[in-house]
Amino acid sequence: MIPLTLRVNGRERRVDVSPDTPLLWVLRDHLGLTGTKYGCGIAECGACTVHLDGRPELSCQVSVSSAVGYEITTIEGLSANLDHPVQRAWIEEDVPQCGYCQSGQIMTAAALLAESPSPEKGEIDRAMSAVLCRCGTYQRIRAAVRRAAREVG
Amino acid sequence: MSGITKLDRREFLKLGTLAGGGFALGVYVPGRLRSAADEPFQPNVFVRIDSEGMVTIWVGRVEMGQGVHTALPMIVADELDADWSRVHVVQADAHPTKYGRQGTYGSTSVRGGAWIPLRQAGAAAREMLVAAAAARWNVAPAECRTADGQVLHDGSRRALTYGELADEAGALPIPEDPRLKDPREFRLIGSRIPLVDTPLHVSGRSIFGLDVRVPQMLYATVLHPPMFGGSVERFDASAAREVPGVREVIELSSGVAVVAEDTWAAFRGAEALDVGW
Repeated sequence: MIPLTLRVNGRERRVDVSPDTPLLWVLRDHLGLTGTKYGCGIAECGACTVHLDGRPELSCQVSVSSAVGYEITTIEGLSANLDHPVQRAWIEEDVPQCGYCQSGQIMTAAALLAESPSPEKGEIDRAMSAVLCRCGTYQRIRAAVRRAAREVG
Repeated sequence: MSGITKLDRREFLKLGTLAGGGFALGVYVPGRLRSAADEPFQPNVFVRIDSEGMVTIWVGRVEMGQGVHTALPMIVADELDADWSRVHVVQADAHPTKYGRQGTYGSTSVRGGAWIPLRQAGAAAREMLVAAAAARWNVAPAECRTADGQVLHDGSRRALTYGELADEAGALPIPEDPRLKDPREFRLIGSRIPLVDTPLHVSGRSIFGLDVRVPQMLYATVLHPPMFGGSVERFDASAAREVPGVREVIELSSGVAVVAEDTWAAFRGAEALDVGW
């Protein structure tokens, strides 16, 4: 194993893992960033969504070696004090129920708004369809994305 | 909390000297829908009022999105007339006996048992705080009222916070039969309160089962039989043991566990197992 250097939430982190290890497990098991969740491991649920250079990626599908050189952002690094517009909107709309999928939801919504600050309803639904919520909080997710968009736009 | 000092009545336990001052009541919330007569007394929800006026409620039941971290403290806080912004909720640790049944199922957390005991706990603590204030002012407890974490004596326009009264209140006996509110007096119960865990979920700081970390821990996965009632006939772990990071392969009654230095190594080890079912 050759040590790799990642850039995670603005900090350089050295990890000594097999290069084919998915980024998800490096974040969770080696870097202690458990906010990123494991749901399915097969690119179906979106719970593990993180940002690579601002774009949403499923960390269960990205090998750690291919994440080298990117700016990796996890839910822990989205804002310092819960002051990202998406996090504020999530609190205002009281979105989470059990909360397990919500890191993936928030990271997906934040990436959408960075790309498209005033998304159409269909655009919100298309982007957010990438993340499943077994509690069924979809109506509040949609309302929170719209609320955040009003604040950003 | 340093131990249990005295059993005042079956439903309540007053807990001993507290590091931050104040007092705590342990309440028994039965784990089944019906009577709890056959279960031994074992407090499983704890309410503490410290000398800063913070109300801390330990919830032994598991939060799974149904809202017990919010709903159970609301019940206590309403009867206590606590200031909701100064109520702090703590998930009690998993323990084989200490908190009774910790599972969450069938509406048993609120409907099945907690409703009356938690109201009684809040009401008992409130009466102790009122008694402490009345003694300090040398007035009758009936002349005092409570609101938002304070005892008030309207006749003399005096008020004391629960924090100022907590040490004295803790020295008083627990009332035998505290008066419960008429439902028309509820302020929190029946109102819409945002779930207390939301800021944790939104920041990624909430701890789910898969997020628990202990020093030097290893990670395991279990390869289960592909049919109901299946069991292991034979298995060859040599390829699994070759996977970097795999530490141990263990046969269980219901499958084979691979223990490794991280989850991915455990998964790859399980893929490499050769098992005959």
